Amino acid sequence: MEAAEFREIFAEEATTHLSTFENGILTLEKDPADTTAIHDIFRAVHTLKGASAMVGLTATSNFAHAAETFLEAVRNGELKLSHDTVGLLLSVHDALKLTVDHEIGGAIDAALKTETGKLIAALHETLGKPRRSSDTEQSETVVMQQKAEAGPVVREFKLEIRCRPEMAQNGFDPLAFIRYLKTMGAIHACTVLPDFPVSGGYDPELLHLGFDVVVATDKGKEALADVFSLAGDLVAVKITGDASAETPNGSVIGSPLLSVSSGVPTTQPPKEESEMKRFATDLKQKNFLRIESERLDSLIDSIGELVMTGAALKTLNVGVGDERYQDHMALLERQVETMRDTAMQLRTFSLSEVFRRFERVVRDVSAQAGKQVRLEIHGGDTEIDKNLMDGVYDPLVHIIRNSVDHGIESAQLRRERGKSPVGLISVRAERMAGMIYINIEDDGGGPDLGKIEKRARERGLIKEGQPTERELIDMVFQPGFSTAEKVTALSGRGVGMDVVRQNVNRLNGSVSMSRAPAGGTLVSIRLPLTLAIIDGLVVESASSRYVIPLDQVVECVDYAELGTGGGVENTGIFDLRGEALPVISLTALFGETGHDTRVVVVVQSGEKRRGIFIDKPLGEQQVVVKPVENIPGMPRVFNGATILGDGQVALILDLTNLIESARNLTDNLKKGLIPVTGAESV
Amino acid sequence: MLELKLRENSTHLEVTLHGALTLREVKDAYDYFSPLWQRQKIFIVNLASVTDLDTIGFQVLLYWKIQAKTDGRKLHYVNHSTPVLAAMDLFGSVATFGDKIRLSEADKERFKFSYGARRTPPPAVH
Repeated sequence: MEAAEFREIFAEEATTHLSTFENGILTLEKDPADTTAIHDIFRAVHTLKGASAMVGLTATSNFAHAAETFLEAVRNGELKLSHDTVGLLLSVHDALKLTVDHEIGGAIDAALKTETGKLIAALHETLGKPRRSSDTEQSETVVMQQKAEAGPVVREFKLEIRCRPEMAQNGFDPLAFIRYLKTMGAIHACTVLPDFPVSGGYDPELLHLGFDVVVATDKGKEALADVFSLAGDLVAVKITGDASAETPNGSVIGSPLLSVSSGVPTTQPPKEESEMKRFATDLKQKNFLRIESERLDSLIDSIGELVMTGAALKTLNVGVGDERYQDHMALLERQVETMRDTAMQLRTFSLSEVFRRFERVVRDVSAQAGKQVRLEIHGGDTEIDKNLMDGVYDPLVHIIRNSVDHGIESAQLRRERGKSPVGLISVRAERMAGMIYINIEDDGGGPDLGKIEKRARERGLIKEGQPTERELIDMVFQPGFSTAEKVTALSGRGVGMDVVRQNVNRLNGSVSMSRAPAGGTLVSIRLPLTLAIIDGLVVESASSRYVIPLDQVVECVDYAELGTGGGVENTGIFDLRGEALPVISLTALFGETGHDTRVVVVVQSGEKRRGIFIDKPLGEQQVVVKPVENIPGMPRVFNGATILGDGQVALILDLTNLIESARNLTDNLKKGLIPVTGAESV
Repeated sequence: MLELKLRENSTHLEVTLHGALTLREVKDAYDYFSPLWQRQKIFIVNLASVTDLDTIGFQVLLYWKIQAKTDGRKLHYVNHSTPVLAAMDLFGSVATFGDKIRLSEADKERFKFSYGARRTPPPAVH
């Protein structure tokens, strides 16, 4: 594995550790007595320190070391966390994250170096230890020596490190290992043992050095051996030391040599797996699990093609009378379906990955806005396609920022209104009817209709008549629309909600805003489960074919069952076994003619149930979703398009938007958009 | 990225290294330096602008030093930059190289050379 690959894997690992670090701090801010959180944070930073040293990211390792020292004091109860120290740790987290990015990228810019220096100094000052003028690398040894002097048993070990020539080419630098050893204690001696080839043949890219290192540490042999476990058989380490003859602050040499094959425990396995070993193990596991998302996308595309080929094969109707052929076709279909589901799952992540980042957003934005806001998360275990997750993050952050800045009132105003001074933002995700719904609700004052209307009239957005509440609120999604009295660093420039809608639409989703039942603001985002392959019901209406997502289909009903004359008093609402069922005609909506309505497909979208007039259903089919551009002037009623087995293109209906577009059925009826009799044409 | 600058007079040849000397650059540096070996008896390698040094970079410096001794030439490393000093300090190899080292105030604070500073001759190529 090349060094670059190791760093790439480290970058992924670092993201997880930094996330644990950040979440842990936020947890501790709420509950300083949460020992699990402090242990998690400490472990994350400790691992980050060690792993970064292993891949040669010195600045990251040194910075993490300073943070670790600080956290150790917190863990040992020597330092109590306050609002300020939490703020400091969050700043450390942010700078550490940037340091990782910069160092992996090749260089750390001067501003970040300065910032990092200030933060390390602040950590030291908060600990009550003035920072040495030397850098942290130097102070590491001092700290370790101080610890050794303070009491723990310090033993001296000799490590005979023998490297394979290709070790460096595989991304392992002995310098980094020895530097890491230094963080575990004090190095008392290091001897470089060259083994250059005789009479030429020196290859400068191969390693011809061995190292004998004497280190005094309170760690055991296993911990020392663990340092090298990452390099596997590229390095052999012999450790000399005598655990049985240990004496406080003394050094004991002379025990039998202990051969350590890297990664293999030397004696009894340690009770707790060390962090470095865990990193090494994780790394090895990742070697098997890591897949570039592009490759996964390519696999899913291929499966999509397979799905389409299968559908085409089915339409040929060959071997209709051959039972064995039919059995094999059915088996093939099931296998393709399983393959599709498995591939889709590989790209699925829990929404908690996104949600847990909101804690920090709320904390920072509320601090900036001078408000107190609490965040509640529900349904974080809802799973979502990675591409969707990546796409929905920015819109969600924007909505949450808006909620804090505009939605939640100041503490004083909240008290005057008889509310708790601490505002509440609730983020709730759920999977329903083949879609994912994410609702962001705050307990603030709700949309200010007066202000929205005033601003809308000023901007000429209201042409005539009095818009409904829904229409008014929807205006916040107009480009440049803002009701903010002043532009703040957080929001108020009118740039945002239109972009939110654009981004969500791009994911084949939709976003709406309304007044929450409790009086605050509710923003609802609706997303498809996946962007790739879905099960659909293919239907024909007039000369066109459409796909209705199968998990939204309730049943297909003969038109005759709805009775003749269709509809209750020509309202477009039909009686389906005693249930009032509003219906939508695709032909009417899309201005098509020459159809013969024989079937009504009953569909469910959220809580809404509707009927859709079609000529006939053509059958269930897996379809590969291909994106389509929205048609200008038309409501966004398609989620995409697909190519059917016979090569025809079918549009995939977005039922929520379709229902929304045709919601005023009576108006549509009056306009002649809804058929009121059986086989009529518009 | 490593840049090598050459200055030569009748008594010696001076090479100045600018940039990193790591696995990435070492072959270029070696290929550049090797043909120069027969041209002079005294070499001065200025390390002031070495911005990064890994074990492989350290190794080539050691190799040249040993090679010079074996061939009866003189090779002096001068103006050691902080990354070079950091590697020498950690590897305890200041005495092995045997060059005079000038330390800035900051480097005096930073590096203690607590081991490996006692003068010992570099081992020979075998």
